[in-house]
Amino acid sequence: MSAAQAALAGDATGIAEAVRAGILSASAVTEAVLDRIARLNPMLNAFTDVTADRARADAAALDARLAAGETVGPLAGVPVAVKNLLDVRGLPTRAGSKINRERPPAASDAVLLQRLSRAGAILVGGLNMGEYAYDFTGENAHDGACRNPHDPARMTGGSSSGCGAATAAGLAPLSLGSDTNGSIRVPSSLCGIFGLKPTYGRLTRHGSFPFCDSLDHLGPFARSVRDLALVYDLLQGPAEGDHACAGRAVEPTLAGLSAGVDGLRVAVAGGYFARGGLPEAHDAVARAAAALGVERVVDLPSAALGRAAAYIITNAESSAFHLERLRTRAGDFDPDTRDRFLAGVLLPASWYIQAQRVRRWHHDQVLALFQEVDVLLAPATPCSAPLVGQKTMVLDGVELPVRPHMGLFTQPISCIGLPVCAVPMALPGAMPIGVQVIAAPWREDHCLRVAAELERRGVARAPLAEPTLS
Amino acid sequence: MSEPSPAFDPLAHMEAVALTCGLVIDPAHKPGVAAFLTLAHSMATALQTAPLPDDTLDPAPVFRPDIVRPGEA
Repeated sequence: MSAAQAALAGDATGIAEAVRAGILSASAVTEAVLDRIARLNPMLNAFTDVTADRARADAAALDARLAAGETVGPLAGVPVAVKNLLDVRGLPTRAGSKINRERPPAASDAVLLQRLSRAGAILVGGLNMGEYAYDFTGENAHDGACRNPHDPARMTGGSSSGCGAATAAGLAPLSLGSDTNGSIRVPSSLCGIFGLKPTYGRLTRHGSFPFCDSLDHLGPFARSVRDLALVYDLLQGPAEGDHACAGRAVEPTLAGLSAGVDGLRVAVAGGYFARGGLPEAHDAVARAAAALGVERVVDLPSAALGRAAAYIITNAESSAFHLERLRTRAGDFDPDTRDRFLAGVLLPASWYIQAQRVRRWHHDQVLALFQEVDVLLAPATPCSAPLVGQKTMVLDGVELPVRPHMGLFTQPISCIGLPVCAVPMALPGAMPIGVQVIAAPWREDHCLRVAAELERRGVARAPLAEPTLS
Repeated sequence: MSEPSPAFDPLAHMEAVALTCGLVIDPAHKPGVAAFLTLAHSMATALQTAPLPDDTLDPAPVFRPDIVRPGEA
């Protein structure tokens, strides 16, 4: 195994340190990751586009700058990939759909990708996703199912399916995805990696294809907390072009990771979040709480209605957005998203307005709770990865469709825009499963400090997946 | 606001509203659409139970009239 191949087993920070120190060239890292993609992607189907020519050119340019003694950024030579709803210059932004690939190639990269590239990251491709992001499974009728690198017979979760698979398998140590109802947190949980859904409005969405404006967030995936904090810090900052972007100044988190959890009031989310999942989901929360010495349990009585509000808002907004496409090209939609989009067009306005009113009320209820606590621990998914093709699952004795219900625990949180870190809590030999570490608005630093403490104590970890077909 | 009817008929709702929206739903797609309408109806019914005051209208999104997107000024 070459030094560059070995570096891919580590994290992005380690790769960048080696490149900046001249131990590895960016070109060597790029060739190693392209080789790994060529070997594993036929099994995982994580990438829909591999931008090899661009990656090689960017890596060579970075190496030339290093040779000239220039200062390069903190992601020097780190391979990154983006969910294919983010614009990549020269590619149509397909957003997981058949219809969108007829769009003209994007003229420029999404703003967040531009920020990573400025920091020295090397784009290696666009990643598979559920059609128009309306998905929790990782299945896609047009591009095929994305497969879990810990067991390719199982789902990655979605809709940022390729992010989960690519980052878990070392095909992209960092990736960017989106989360409207759980699409960062669900694949993070099922693929065993860290993911950050920042506060709604924190990161600009400019240059990404929309799903549901009220709830759309972008965010990063990584295999270590220091990587997650590093990339999040680089992604922050005001930008034009996204009316929801709050334009806050950068609030760095990386340096604060070592602060631990002293002074943070951490509690377990009970009630709604303490039931409805399989034992592994609730056990993961219990282990996280035990590691942190947390005994306090608090209830979020508005959570179920928050989830219902998120469902209606998503269904109505996304379907109205796609109405013309549904009128003229319903047959070109993925059958697994089409019927839900068609139904969403037909919702009465009163349902939607009530959902937005309840969203406000739920927000106010939960923010009152954050007067008493700083961080909440909750399950991320109700179970570990179902099998690819599995349509239903049994939760609390009730058989439910997988696709709309994998977000049972994530939807009440993103509905009100709270920052959440998905933290991998798998036991050795078991399929991955994560927990949500949730904080008050704009306190991503709290999420990341708790995640770092769980990682430091050895209960949270994201080992490189080495997939084999069983 | 009146509550959604407890005797919700997703197929009747579909027939009544789809044409108004200019949407012709393929008969093969109707069972799936009806299932998701039923799920949405159950969510909407639950939302009616939230203890909201009847004299305030405070939906979550807030329109900011001072933001113009690039290229749209």
